[in-house]
Amino acid sequence: MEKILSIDNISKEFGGKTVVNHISFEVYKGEIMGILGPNGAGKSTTIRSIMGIIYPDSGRILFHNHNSKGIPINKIGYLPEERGLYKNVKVMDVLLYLADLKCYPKDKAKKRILEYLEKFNLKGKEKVKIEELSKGMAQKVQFIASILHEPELLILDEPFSGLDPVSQDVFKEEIREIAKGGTSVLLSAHQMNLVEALCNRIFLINEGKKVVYGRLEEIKESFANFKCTINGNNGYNVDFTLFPSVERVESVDDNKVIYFKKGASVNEFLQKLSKDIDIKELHIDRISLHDIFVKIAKGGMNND
Amino acid sequence: MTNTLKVASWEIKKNLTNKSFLISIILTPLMMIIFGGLPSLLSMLEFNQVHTLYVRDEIGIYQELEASFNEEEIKVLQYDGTIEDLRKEGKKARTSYLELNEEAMASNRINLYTLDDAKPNTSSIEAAVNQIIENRKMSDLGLSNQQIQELREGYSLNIINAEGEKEDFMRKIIPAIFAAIIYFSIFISGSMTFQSATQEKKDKMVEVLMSSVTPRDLMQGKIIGCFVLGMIQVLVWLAVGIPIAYYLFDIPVFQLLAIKELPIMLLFALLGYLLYFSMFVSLGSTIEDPASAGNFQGMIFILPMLPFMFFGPILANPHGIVAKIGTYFPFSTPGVMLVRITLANQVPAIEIILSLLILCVTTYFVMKLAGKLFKTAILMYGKNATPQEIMKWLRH
Repeated sequence: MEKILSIDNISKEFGGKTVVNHISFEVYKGEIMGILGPNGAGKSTTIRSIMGIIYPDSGRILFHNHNSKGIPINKIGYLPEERGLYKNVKVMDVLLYLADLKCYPKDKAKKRILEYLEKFNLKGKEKVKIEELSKGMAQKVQFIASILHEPELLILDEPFSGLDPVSQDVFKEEIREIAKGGTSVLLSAHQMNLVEALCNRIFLINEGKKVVYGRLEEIKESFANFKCTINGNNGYNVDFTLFPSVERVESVDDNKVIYFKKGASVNEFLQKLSKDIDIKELHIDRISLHDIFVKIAKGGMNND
Repeated sequence: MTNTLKVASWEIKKNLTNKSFLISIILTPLMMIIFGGLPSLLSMLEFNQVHTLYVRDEIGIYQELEASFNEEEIKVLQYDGTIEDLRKEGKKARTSYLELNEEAMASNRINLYTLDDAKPNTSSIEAAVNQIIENRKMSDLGLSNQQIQELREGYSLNIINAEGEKEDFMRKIIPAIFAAIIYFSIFISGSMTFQSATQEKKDKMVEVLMSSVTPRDLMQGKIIGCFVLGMIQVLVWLAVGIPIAYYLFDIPVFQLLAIKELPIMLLFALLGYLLYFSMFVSLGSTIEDPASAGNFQGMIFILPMLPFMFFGPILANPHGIVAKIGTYFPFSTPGVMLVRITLANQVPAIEIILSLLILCVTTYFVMKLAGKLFKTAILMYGKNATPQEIMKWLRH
């Protein structure tokens, strides 16, 4: 796969505190790469370093398609975590200005603005001032600003925060489509279900250090063991912990959540289940990204 | 087009389509006219009313006194009664009573009673009475009318400077006003520059912009943009002012502007602009919420007013020690030099060159420091920067 961006061993300190600690990752062409971590983990600092808004104390950031040392800012789209646009300026004017700063041709930009406004249910709003839009609408306009100039790399810092579920779906679809078109997307988000649905690969960061990095499926396989949820009237008669493959069991009313040991065979467990067990519902799935994230955030998983 | 110019043209466009900016362009000169001209216009309305002056004349100067006044301003009437008699008659509005008798002559004090709160132009009454009595005294001493007239002729000072030329700073007054208007617009568009950075922080636009332009481009663009806006303001005022000066007061502005000092005056005004604007824009970037900003950043607006402190001494001596201090202290250089060049016949070339040099070097370093401060401060969210933080960023 063609590399677009390489983060090579970057570190950043603020007032004696290491916010980003020797992290490295790559972003490939046309993929959606998630950068995840609890609040204050170092995500925004990493993103700002890529954008050249701040400079890392050490390490390198490489844009592979560009020979020059600087950051090819005209080829990057950026939706920062801090949301905002000029309040008393018309939608069309602010979008054209931002496209102009990226050296994108005006007539082309105008055409794309109208197309995107229609796509995001904002048709006819081009002459409306930003302050007259709702928060969600303004967020859509800012999203349009980040993709208008057909970037090679799109960096989205918490794009879903503050959006209603319908708008979240619209954004999700658009991000998928953009990646399909060959743009690489670096996505920072808290909504794990959306990350699971969108990302090809993830980079999990905590306290400035890498925790997990790789393909989503591989990570889930290596980090997330199976769990089995049985709904039925089994009371205290059945002790699932007697099975050698079971690590622990959590009981909530009629639900029993059975967590398996690493590498345990689920098939074997199912075959050995007694016929006396009452089963109204049975699910077998891996621990979700959400569970892993919460475990990390609570300090339950060691860095690296 | 470079990003600096893109930012500049955006600033210009954004403000020119903003109603409050357009209103302020028109309103500022209007306010000046209103506050400058209206009070004297209003007092003229009051003074232009006819005032009746009843004179009880026991020394026989009534006729001369009557002849001294324009009847439309002060109507002089001879009256034989006392002030109480006049009061009893109920005559009150714009009426006064003057008592001229031997007692007053002896004590050098003449009583003027006003019957209501409206006062006549007392200084003209005083001058007229004095002149008549003085004339009479001189006549008593045996001087003829012609001799008295000769005595009354005054003298005016005719100032000839060191080069033997007649001093004529009137020829420089129009160019000086022109340069002063430019300098004054620093105050008006200066706050615009300050707000421009603050507003972007408040609107949370900074990060989006910084992903497309460098802080340097952003700052330079703002300075250039606000400078052009300031010049547009000046042009609008001149477009109004020049025809008024030309047709109403018969001042040929363009001919008077063509003096050799004008380019130097403009250069000082422009350098002043750059110096102050870079400070305004960088300090503006340290503020997120103008409503809760401390006094520290606000104090920067006092700096362009610094030259006013030097005005009095410079008027007395444009080459004195105070004038020299003001010339070489870079933050007062532009204003002080504008005044000096206007007032002095010739400011020594070495002083102009030296002060320009100091101003240029200071402006260069202030702009560099401002860039440094702007770069850090513009990305700091959540609170206004404290003076300590600003010092730390500047040193870092």
